[in-house]
Amino acid sequence: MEFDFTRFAEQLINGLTVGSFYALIALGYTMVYGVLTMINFAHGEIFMMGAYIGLFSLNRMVDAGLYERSPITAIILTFLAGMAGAALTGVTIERLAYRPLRRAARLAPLISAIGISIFLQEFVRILPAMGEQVMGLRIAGNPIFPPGWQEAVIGVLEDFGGVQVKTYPGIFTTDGFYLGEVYVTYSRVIILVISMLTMVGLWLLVKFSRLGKAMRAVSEDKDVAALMGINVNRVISQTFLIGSALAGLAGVMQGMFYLQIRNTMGFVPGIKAFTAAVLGGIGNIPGAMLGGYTLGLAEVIGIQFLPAIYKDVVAFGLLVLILIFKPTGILGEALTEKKM
Amino acid sequence: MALLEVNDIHTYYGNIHALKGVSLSVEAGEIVSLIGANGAGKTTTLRTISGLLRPRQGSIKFKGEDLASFPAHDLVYKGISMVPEGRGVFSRLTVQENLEMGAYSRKDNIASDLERIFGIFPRLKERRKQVAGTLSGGEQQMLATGRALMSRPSLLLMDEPSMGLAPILVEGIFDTIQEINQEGTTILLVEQNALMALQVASRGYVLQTGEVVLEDTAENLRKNQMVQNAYLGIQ
Ligand SMILES: Nc1ncnc2c1ncn2[C@@H]1O[C@H](COP(=O)(O)OP(=O)(O)O)[C@@H](O)[C@H]1O
Ligand SMILES: [Mg+2]
Repeated sequence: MEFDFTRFAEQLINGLTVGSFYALIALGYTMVYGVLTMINFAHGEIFMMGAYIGLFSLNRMVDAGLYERSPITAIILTFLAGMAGAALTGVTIERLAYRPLRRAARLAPLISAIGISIFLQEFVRILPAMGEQVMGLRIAGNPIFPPGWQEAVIGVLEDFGGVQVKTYPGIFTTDGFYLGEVYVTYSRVIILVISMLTMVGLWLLVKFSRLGKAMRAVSEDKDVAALMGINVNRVISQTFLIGSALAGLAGVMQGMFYLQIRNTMGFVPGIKAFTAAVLGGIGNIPGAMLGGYTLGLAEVIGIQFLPAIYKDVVAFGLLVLILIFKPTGILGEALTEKKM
Repeated sequence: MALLEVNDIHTYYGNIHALKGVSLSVEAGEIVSLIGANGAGKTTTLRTISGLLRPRQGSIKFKGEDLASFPAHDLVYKGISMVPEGRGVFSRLTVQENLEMGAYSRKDNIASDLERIFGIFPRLKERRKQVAGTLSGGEQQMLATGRALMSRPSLLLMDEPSMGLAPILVEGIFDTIQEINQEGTTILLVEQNALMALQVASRGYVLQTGEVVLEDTAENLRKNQMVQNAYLGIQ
């Protein structure tokens, strides 16, 4: 096989784009691990919820004519809606499924997370069917809900979820520019810029803000953090909020740039991003960013030498190798229980 | 009215009955020492006062207010601050960030407090940008103490500040404790080093397997036969 530089350069840009997704999602894993020493295995589904809520909001704006009048506003609102929806999902999960298990054995929240992950996937899939059943409920033979409602409610639910793949409207074209001989689409540039700006913002927040310092204090020692006057539960909620919003951002980007979304879309990126977080050093925020881009690039470099379908083998092979040879990851400390 | 009134508290770890009815009081302006052997319940007493543990029975009053309904993170706002056992510095935060966390409960300007702490502990000023995990044990103790002072507490709880420190540093720690007290902070001092603790304190309590077995002025405790035998190493 001959080495084709142009193709390789294109692949590198591709790797950076994919790496942006991994990095954004990995941040949520690592932030939650930082404050709770637990892996939130429902995080991939939070990403999925962001994509669905984003699309639902975008459809409303298309219906209302806002998208036609002011596409930029509509796109920004779509991102905000997806991020807010994902954030709400994450905060709710923590409150209902993890907080009651805070003092339970370590396996308990993990099992709870897997349960939530399946719940969310199924929730999105069966929502319209569920609506149909609820709307069809009868008391003594009489429908509870007027027939007029039925159609409206089911219509809304079908617009939100369902069995089929859903498709974002094609907003971004394949327009681009040449960098030397390498063709770069604008959409890839946008993904990179949005991701990197977000990550710089997060880094500044964690490093300098009052909340960021409280998060770092909580991740070291909850009791001592409480002695400082930090409301530990609130900081944990805020950590889920931020981490989930980042996943929501990635979810909306996924929909806008790759168009198709489905209820199972969170699974593979979720595990890949988890790999990225471990690669960078779980619990370490710059590590998650570095791990995301490293994994994205490793995949595209790997498939220079292997058939493309081996991409996932590269990623998970890397995970196994790290766990064996450097379980602390590139920047991290050992996976220990001491921080609990 | 005493600043702190602990009345007959019982604290458990699961089924382990760690405090079996501890009562003590601290008047404003005092240094009160709580001494006792390893495992007597000294740390448990402080953690119960600071709200990290809940007594199953008994009450804790601070400035006349019952603390039962307040979570631990509210107490610093009321004026209680603690230097935890083993110091508990945030090892990945810098010295300066640790001190800022000490002032987390405050909304006003903390610059003058930082200067005050750096005045008491000049070593911390030299190392303000360093992460706390790289400090020596003595420096970490200074940091934990300085951090607790950043909230301008009216009551400072200190859990074995001399633990694990070289003898030469221990003197310095007790000097600092007196200095802090003279500047107006009331101190409840837990120590295994009974000799030093009873030198700086005005009163003391002796704790044994979760119960107060003796309470008196520090002077009388120093002369007490049982205290001399058990805690001061005098036969
Ligand atoms: N986290 C814990 N779980 C169970 N028992 C504990 C725990 N912490 C302390 N204890 C027990 O409570 C008693 C008092 O301990 P502690 O307050 O730490 O004593 P001291 O500070 O005087 O050395 C001891 O018997 C100790 O074994
Ligand atoms: Mg102790």
